[in-house]
Amino acid sequence: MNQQEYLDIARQVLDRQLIDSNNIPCGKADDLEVECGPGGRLKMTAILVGPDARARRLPGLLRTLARRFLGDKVVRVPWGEVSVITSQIKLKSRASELGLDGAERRAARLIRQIPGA
Amino acid sequence: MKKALEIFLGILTAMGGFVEIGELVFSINAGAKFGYSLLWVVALGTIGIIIYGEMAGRIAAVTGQPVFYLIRERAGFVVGLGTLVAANLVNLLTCAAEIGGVAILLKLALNWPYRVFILLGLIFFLLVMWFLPFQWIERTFGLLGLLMVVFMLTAILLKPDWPQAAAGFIPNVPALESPKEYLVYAYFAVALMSSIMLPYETYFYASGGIEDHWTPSDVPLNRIIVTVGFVLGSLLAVALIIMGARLFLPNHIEPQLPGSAALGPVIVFGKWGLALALLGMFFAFGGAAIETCLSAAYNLAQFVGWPWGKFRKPGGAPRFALAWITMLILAGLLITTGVDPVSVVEYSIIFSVIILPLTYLPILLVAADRTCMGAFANRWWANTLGWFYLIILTIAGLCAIPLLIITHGGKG
Repeated sequence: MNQQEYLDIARQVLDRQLIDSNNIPCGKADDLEVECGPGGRLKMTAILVGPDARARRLPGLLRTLARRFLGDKVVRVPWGEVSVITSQIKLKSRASELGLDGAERRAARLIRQIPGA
Repeated sequence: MKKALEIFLGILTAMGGFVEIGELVFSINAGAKFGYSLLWVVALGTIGIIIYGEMAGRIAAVTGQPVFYLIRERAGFVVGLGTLVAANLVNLLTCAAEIGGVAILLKLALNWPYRVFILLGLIFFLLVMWFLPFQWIERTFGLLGLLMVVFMLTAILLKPDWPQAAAGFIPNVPALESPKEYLVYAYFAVALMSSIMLPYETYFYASGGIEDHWTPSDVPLNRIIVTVGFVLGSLLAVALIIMGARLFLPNHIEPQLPGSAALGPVIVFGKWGLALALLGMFFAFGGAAIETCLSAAYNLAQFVGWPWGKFRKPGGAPRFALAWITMLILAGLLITTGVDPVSVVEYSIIFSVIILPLTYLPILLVAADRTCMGAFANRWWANTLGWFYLIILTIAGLCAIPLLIITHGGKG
């Protein structure tokens, strides 16, 4: 896949699994940010991760409900953070450095109170 | 040598984990109502689950991608989300039914109140899932589920009419009394097919391959386990149909399941038959309760991209752990309301058929894709069979709910 000279962002990036530099899953490419450069050239600028990035893709009422119950947080992962794209998207930094570990950390605090965790 | 042992244990685990409460209920009832004539559906369903189980396992071994990664990538976010919600509702219903089944079995053994056993069962499953590693859970429940082999011996000793049973493996529609009976026959064909091809089996199997750290070198292992394990497992379903046909059909008994399933082994083997049948069913249903509940957590975590897997300590995959704990408790609460596990089973099985095409299409597309799978992509025959089953399942899915309503859940 790396030998290809183009990247199909709808198929190879959108909805793919993100893994951080320690190979820990840290969300999906829920939405993409594309910038229109000079001469109409499109440039990938960021991968957007989080409940609001997902909610935007839902139709009307569902979108409102999703925002209401799951919050409207979005984390922006700059495109320059992407290290390798295979069937997953590997990032150059750790999830905590990218701000992708908030909910996971809160859940960990809760679950670690149970013995054996 | 180590590989041989792994294959051997894998086959036995797949066999012991094949039958759960839905299959048990529908197989015995199919035999009790239509004799041997629905045996062909078991064969058809078994080949189907082998084809798709093999593909899902192969994708997991080659790309490390579990089923809900594929569903989201191939079906897109919105359709994928719909599949996730439906799949997990079915998982919840199935898990609740299995817990209810376990409680009924325990109540037969010791006559305490039913709800006490639901609570005990729930605590037992929570402890097992919290403390035991993945492979231990999979193997313990799979291997002890093999006690169900007592049903195979029972079926043989009940002296079935073998030529007639063999004829049942050829697709057929028997001569029935009324038009309504034909619809009931169709309902049972759809339900039996669905109970064998339950979607959670592929979710769980592929995720399990990743839990066991499969690599492309495990592709042959996957193929052998799926083929031999599922064929042997399907013989249990065959045995249950034969038992239904020999025991309940001639006497016009409508078996009260799952309890009266033990009747066959009791008649043939006495007290020991009863003990083995109850224990076998306990581990078969218990294993399925754990698998459906883990499947729900796998699906959710894989869809939204959380760290998942039992190979991680709960502290290393906390949202995944919270997901399965929540799922198990919800299933327990659902069954505590006093709904009959057997009717929960029927709904879970009928709703399963509807999500089967949505689950299997992404698997087929990825397994056939050379850019993802390279040399391990489907050959022409796997693609042909894959599409063939997709068409059958789509037809079954479209008929499922109308048949459920018209036949009042197979009661005619």
